Amino acid sequence: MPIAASDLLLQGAASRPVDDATTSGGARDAANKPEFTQLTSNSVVAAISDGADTRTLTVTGRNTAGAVVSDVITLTGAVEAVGVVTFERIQRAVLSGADGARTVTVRQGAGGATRATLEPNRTSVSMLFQNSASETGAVNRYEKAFWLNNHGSLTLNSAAVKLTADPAARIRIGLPASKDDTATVANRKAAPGGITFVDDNVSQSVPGTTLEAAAGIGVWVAQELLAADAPIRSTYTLELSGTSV
Amino acid sequence: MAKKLTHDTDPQPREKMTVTAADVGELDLGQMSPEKIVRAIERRCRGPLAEGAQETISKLLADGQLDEARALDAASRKVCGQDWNEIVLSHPFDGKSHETPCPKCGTLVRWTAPVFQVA
Repeated sequence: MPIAASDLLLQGAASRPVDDATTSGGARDAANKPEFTQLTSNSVVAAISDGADTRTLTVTGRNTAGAVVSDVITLTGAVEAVGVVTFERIQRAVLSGADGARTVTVRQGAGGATRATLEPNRTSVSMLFQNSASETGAVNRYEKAFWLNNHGSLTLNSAAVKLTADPAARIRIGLPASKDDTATVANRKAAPGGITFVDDNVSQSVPGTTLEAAAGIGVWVAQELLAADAPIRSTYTLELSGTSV
Repeated sequence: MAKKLTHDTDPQPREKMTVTAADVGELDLGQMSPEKIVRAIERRCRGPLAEGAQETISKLLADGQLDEARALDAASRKVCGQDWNEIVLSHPFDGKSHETPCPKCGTLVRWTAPVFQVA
């Protein structure tokens, strides 16, 4: 079977800061998924598993007043469990443990649209640049994600990574010169060495132009806020493309 | 006697082999020049986005239709292919932010020069 889009997985880095003081980057964390759809309006969050499941899902985000709040939802198997906290946005959702069989779906409100999916062995979804604010001067922050070729045997050829949409024009991405690198920066305001960042108008090849089966490529993401930048509620997307037999 | 290297154009089927992450060598970046590190990644201008496409892409993103947004972004571009590493290498490695029009298609590209640690 050729490589399908579902074989190319976005995964988080081991160090995912929520402040400007802690380490950012590191190795690939297969249990994290830095990808979900943000709430479209203020809402509670609901969660449902696809079978017997009593884990807890801790949802963290901002309430309508802008404060960071959490809601702990205890799963009730394949019956939807509805939280009690109204969120303006979600920052992360973390399961209390891994399960090799169960998929948990996070919804916007009771019976609402799917906003995140935690497949087997995934324990968290999270956004990058949580709690990052503009300052009196321009400020850049750097965090990392990974693309993984999860196909059992095939190499992704002509592999390239792109920022395919960034309506707010605040994001740039850069690739390390080696695959599955583990580089970190002391904090997310420190620029990673040797990385060239580009916007959505430039495509970047994976080193060697191939991504072998079970190999990952790190993607450093730079958020560049202007001096005294206004609040931005935006989404960007990353793409890994290539060919296979 | 020196080995003679030739291009392999033999169409005969070969033994099937699986290449995995374990077979992938790790680059010793300390041994690479800054120019080689920049050139380790091929960077190409994607060309201009068609007028009006950005607005639709923004709406798709807001609706959570990420795949559709990606597809529209790809379909709305006139491929350019300018080697952006040439632009990067013509500037100092100082970590500064730039807005440079593509010399081939005129697309304004925002990019940041790399910085390298000096041992």
